[in-house]
Amino acid sequence: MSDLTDKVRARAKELLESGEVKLVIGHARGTTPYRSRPHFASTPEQTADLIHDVTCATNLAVYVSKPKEKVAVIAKGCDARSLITIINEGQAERGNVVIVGVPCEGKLDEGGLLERLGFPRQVKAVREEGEEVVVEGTEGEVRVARDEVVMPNCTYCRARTPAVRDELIGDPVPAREEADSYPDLAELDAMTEAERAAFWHEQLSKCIRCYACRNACPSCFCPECFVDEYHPQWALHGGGQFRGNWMWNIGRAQHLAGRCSACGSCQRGCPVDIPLMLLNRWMERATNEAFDHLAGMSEEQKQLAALFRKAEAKVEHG
Amino acid sequence: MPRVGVFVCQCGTNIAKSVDCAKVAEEAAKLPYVAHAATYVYMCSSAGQQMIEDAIREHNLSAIVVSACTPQMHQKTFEGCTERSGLNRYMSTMANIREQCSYVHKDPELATQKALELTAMAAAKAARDEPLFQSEAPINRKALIVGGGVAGIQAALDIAEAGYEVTVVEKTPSIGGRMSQFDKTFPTLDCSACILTPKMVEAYQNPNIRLLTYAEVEQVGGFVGNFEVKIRKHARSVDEEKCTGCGSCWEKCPQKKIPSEYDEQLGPRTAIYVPFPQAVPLVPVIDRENCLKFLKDRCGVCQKVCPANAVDYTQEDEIIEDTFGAIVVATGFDVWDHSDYGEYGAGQIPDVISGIQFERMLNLSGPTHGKVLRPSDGKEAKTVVFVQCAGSRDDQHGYPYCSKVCCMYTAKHAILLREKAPDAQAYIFYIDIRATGKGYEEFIRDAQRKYGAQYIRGRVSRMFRQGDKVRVFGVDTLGGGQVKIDADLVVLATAIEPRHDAKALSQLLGIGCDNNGFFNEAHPKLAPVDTMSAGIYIAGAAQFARDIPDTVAMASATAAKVVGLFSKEKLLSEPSVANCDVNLCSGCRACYVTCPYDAIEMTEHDDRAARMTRMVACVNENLCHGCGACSGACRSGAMTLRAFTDNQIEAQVEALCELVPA
Amino acid sequence: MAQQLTAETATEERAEVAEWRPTLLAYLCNWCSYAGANLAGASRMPYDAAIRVIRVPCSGRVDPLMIYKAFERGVDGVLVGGCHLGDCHYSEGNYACQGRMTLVKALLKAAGIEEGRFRLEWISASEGSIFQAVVNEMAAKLRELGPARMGDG
Repeated sequence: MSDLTDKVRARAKELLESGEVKLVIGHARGTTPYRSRPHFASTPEQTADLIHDVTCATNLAVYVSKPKEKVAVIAKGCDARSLITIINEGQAERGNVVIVGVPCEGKLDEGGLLERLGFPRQVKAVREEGEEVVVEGTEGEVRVARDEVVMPNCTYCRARTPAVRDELIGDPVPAREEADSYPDLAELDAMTEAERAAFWHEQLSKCIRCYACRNACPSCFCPECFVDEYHPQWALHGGGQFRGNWMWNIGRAQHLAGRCSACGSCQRGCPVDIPLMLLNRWMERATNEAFDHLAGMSEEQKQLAALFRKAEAKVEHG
Repeated sequence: MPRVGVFVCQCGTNIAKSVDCAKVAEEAAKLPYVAHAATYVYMCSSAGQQMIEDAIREHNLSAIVVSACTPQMHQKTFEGCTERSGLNRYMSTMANIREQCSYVHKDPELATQKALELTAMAAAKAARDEPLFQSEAPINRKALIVGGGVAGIQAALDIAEAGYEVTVVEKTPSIGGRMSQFDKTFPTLDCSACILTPKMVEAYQNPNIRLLTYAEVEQVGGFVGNFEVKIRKHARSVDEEKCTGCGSCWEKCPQKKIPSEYDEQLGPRTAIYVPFPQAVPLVPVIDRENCLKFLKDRCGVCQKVCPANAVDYTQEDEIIEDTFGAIVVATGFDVWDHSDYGEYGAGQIPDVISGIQFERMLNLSGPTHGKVLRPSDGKEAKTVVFVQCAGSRDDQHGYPYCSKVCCMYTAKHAILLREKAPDAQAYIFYIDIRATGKGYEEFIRDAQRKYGAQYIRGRVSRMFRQGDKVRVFGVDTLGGGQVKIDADLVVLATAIEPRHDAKALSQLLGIGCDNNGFFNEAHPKLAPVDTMSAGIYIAGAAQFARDIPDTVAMASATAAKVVGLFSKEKLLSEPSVANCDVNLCSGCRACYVTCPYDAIEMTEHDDRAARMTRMVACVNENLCHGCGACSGACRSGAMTLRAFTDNQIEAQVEALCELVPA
Repeated sequence: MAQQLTAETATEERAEVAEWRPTLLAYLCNWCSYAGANLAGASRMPYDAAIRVIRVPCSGRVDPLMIYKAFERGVDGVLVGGCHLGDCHYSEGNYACQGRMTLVKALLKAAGIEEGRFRLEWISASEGSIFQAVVNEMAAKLRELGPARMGDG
């Protein structure tokens, strides 16, 4: 059992026993050793199932919706960014959320791992050792460099230690230098406009409009999404039609601008492997450049729309 | 199912010469929801309007499109047609096929196609029109004026004259403001008190005007027509009803050396005092911070000598709550403090004073009884250096703007100096002379020619004490070379700046300040006395540096606005206002942070389906101006703007794309 | 489905016509840019007939979805016109617009829609000639670029 898991359990137990919070949201072991699932502990006993390791990829902020009582969230940097964003947008009161920060050096991309290991292979356990991920299988141990099997967004993470937190379990780790140089966008940047259009045509044609991306996203909390509306019908409903898919994915990227925590949940959830993080990161770069805004990186943060105001405007067009 | 009627105007030949109007009508008749289409030579003529009204009845139309000129010209005309035919007047849309089509496109084929597309877009919108209604609110016909200077007094008199009740809230013990401190006014050299005092008394005596002096606005709620205001009237320690203003108390008060605010610290006042002899009301206040009774529980002389038994040491602050229909903000200005300006002696040289201090010095009832004396030794000053733009047009030390009045009052000072002492000499350092009012340029010339003021174009680089003089070094950019003057007195034309509490007041009122801290007008050109909050107006130097005539004109303008508002029977709001569908609202506050009018409140909504109470956006229609910035910011589509709904705009895009020719 | 096919077929067919004409959609604020367009008209300043105007009270009313939707439905270019900064009838609706359009420009770039297909312009009620110039420039640019293809044309 890892050190971090022990600490998370102990702290969660303490929080529930003292009555400081009514609920702790964390992770527990999933259906396989390389998966986790969200875990909701409302009694001290239930904290025994909590874990925290390289498999805990889910952004738990998605489970925080207008809590009436105090909840604690075992939050990675991206979870914390999302929490601050949704708090800022009236989806929770700051006083009702205890951000129990945990450092994170990247979380496992299960698909990528299996591909790397060669499927099928029986995995018994996964653990981190230094910069490596060690996979114990029926045919012995395999060691892989962490960067090769974590989610792509983890390799350019700017919040490996939660920027905003109420406490921190474990030692802080510095942000990745790649966070601000956007190497992930290099390929898209190098394309001509026609190539980019063609690239997205290929990618977005695959979309089946299952909205797994939306469901996984803590920032998608509208009672009714624009894409589901009939009056007006912004995008044709149902998948398989490129233009309707384009409208959905572009509209989604627009709506997440300045609100995305770069957790990668949307892309991780996409069953047809659309590189959604490219759009999200593209918009993060744009909002950072134009408005000096990065979602959820500070407690005092204003909403992006507030930065458009006359009193805040720095660049004046025209 | 909507039934839209389309009416294509030929505008004589203005439209018909390049648009085939008959064809547009013929094609328009085939559009979705269009139940009738016709063309006519002049739709706006009586016959044209009658044609529309008849068609609405005959074809049972639910909405109309008039394809004609710009809606800015005839929208209201055709709204009249729908109204007279028994429809809601807002079920009327115009397609602009004249200014934006026939006037600019000569090719008949292109112009006709475009006219048809514009008509189709308008029809798509009209099919989604909904009846709109103006909401009504009562008007509380009482005005609140914040600030009792000349602006506040003028606005109060004008509003009271029109028959409405006015309350003036003044922070200091007397009304009169800055103008009461001035000796003479430019360019006519009228005695300031002689023209102001009658107005002060008139305000005091007017039965429609209530003066609350030594009072401040503490809280403002509500909106136009119904501002709920809390006013704190500071304890005066003197009963205003009983006091006769006889003066026994302040004559006997033993605390005689408190620097007078009114005299700009050049002279003393007592602890129980009226700021100046013509004060209105002529009722003293006790400055509790300097009164022996309050400090040490000794003395009590004022109470003993008061023949009216008006002195009351136990008086407490009074909170007055009232409702007002409109508010005029006329809080005036402060004068820039030159003490952080090292080149000008950093406030450490007693014989370097500000223009307003000089003003008090010139006044016969002022601290020097009208003599120009050096504060350091009380000797008469003969050589006086005036420095213009002290803190104005100066990004480094002061403000970027021109304070507008300094050129004029400095010329006035030079003239009055010579009048007081014919052998005195004024030297004036200036950057430019700005004398743009009636009689202003002539006034400057008089100062130069008749009163011998020496104008030196250039800035002062530094000044310091040299014996009993102030040595001033400057540059003469016209004559060339350095200038050195040993002055008896230096007068800085210090910049006009916003009141130090302007920001706090702007937040109370929700009107906002500009970059320099003056109150924001609604529009720099077309709404200079309006603010972004309906029913709140600004006058005088609270908006920006102003001279007296401008201030009085602005004050009367605000009064006209208030009287105009009060003359309405009811307040009718814009029909095209924002509206929030609470079922779609996530409560994310994007609209709330966007609205320029603070018209959106987050309120609790009892969501029965979700079995919870959640916060949602709610539009105050009385504050909403209908810009739609909120709906542009809304992701979920909850917030929309009536008459410009998402649905109506998207439908226009669809209609256009359906018709794009192959 | 039917609508979709119509739009796509229309795009293809239009490209084949020798004299292809672009469609330029403009969202103009009522107080400045729409009035500027009227002035151009009243002054008989001819300009390209490609433009179709949707009048909005303020450029701040423009929802980015309205721009994406236009491209999705086959419009070749979009112009948003508002009052100059500082002149907004509603004080700062154009600032809200400016902020949002900064994002729109970025996202259109990511999507591979050529820069010339979208413009935000501040055009006052007295700037009829500027309106004329902007429309002509944009229409010329659209002719040069041809029909908007989003990878599917």
